[in-house]
This record gives sequence, structure tokens and C-alpha cells, in this order.
Amino acid sequence: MNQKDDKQIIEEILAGRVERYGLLVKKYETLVFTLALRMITNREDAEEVAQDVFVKSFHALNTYKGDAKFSTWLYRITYNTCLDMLSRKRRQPAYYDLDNLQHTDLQEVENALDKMEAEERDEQIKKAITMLPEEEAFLITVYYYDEQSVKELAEITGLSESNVKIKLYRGRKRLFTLLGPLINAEKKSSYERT
Amino acid sequence: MSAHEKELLKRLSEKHIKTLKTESPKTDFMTEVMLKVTHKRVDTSVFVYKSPITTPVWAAIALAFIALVLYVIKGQISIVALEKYLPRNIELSLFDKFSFVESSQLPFVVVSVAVIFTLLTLLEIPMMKKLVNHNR
Repeated sequence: MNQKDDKQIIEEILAGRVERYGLLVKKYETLVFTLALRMITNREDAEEVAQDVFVKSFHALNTYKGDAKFSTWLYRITYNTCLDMLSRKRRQPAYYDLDNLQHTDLQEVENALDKMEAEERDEQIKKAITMLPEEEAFLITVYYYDEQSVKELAEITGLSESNVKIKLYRGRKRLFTLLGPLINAEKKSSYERT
Repeated sequence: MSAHEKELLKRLSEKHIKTLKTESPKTDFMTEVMLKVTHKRVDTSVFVYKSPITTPVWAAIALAFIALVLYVIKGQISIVALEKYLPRNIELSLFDKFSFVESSQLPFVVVSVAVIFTLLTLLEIPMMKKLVNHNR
């Protein structure tokens, strides 16, 4: 189902075939939920936000002009809804300042990741993503999961393109810097278990 | 930032973030969304036109009106002819007071307009329902 299909489905929904909205929900539910989970870090809240996103987007479908991709439009709603939820919950950011992080040799991190089991590696990376500032977690997730361009990311978040690039770089650096101590801690605990 | 570090970060991201699996919400996620969407739609979004006077009542009003108009135009219904259907203790002279025949003979144009108006009103109900409920 491509972008053209999305537009056709939207036209059908606006013409009264409400049940067709299920196709759009099915197509985007995993990514919207993943984005919410990466930003909010709590499964229940992420589920609530994801539902809210789809209900909001349904009621705003007539405002979708079709000049941008439907996914871009939907992710903008996701991003704003997540920010609303975070401000409602008054979650204090617990991310790690790059300057205060210990120096990590990225080459060592790469070697360590390569040696890990896929499942364990994915767990550690997901854990590290949830330790990023919400904006960086969101940008990295959309950029790599849905291959949105920097321009589209700027449209979604309302940031300038250069700002998006900086935040993407910082996010990547913070993520893999955080992974160093996380991998070491995991190694230590598995050594203690055995 | 060194070019080497930048390259390394890009490579690591491509290799490890891109391959991460997306998370799935609970299995009935779509059903719940669709329930919310359709429920809200029925509750708040749709205005369903319901005429305050139902079609049969409109039809009865129109028939009564047409009968009255015909009575006024023709003026030939004799009260006397109703005598056998009326109770004996009713004075027939009473009906003269209510007769339109002598007091007011409506002009033909007014009566025609009234008849046309009634017919249009009868047509209006299904048309309005179709128009207002269109695409809902």
C-alpha cells in the first residue's frame, strides 16, 4: 500500500466509508506505537497515546491536504500528542548529558555489539533509546524505521533542517556512548550469574 | 566531530538501529480505535434530520386542508344532507354559523397556492431527509 493508496483510502473515508480507516490503522499502528513507546517509555501510556493519535487523525482527516505524505502528517500528530502526554505527566527528563558521559570508544562498542546475540543486542539498543531525550529518540526512530528525509523530519517536528541534522548526530552519539557502559554492565551481570 | 567518528556512528546506526523490530500494540488495538471512531461519529458528529411532524401526520393535515378547500370552492355540501347522521338533539341551524360558504369564498389563486404549498411540503420531507443525511 503506497502513498497513492493512502490518499484513495482517505477519499473513501471522507465519502462515508468509515470502515476503510481500519486499513490505515493497520498499516501505521506498529510505527505510531513504537514512536510513542520510544518517547514515553511506558507501554500503557504509549498505547493510550497511539489510540489518541488515530482518533485525532480520523477527526482531522478533512484537513489533510495531500501535499505531504500521509505518514508525515500522522507522525506530526504522534509527536505533538506524545509531547502533550509528557507535559501532562510532568515527566522530568532523565537523559544523560553528553559532556558528563564517560568517553566511550565507539570501535569497541561496535565490536561488542557484533559479538552479542541478536536478541540481547536489540534489547540493549532499545534500552539505550529510551534513555535519550524524547526529541532525539523520536527523530532516530522515524529516520531509521520509516526512512523519512531530514526535510520531512523538520516538517514533523517544526525544527529547522540543520537543527534536525544536529539532533540526529547527537542522538546517535549519545545512544552508542550510552551503549558502552550498558554492555559492560550486562557482561558483568551475566558473569556474576555464571 | 571528526569525519571518522561521524562515519562510524552512521555505520553503527545503519547496522543496528535500522534492523530493530518495531513494537506491536495489543492485538485488539485496531478494534478499539475503530470503536472509538465510530462511537464518536454516531454520538456527536452526525446530525440526523428528523422532521418534528411525521409524514402520516403531514398527509392527514394535507388531506384535511384539501377537503376544506374543496368544500370552500364548491360550497355545495348541504348540511341538510348530513341530517340522518347527526344526533336528533343537535340544532342544524348551529352549522350555519360555521359555514364558510356564505361568509368567505376564497379566491381561486389563494386556494391554488395553498394546494401547491401542501404538495410541496409533502415532497420536502423525503427530499430534506435525503439531503441532510447524504453521505453520513
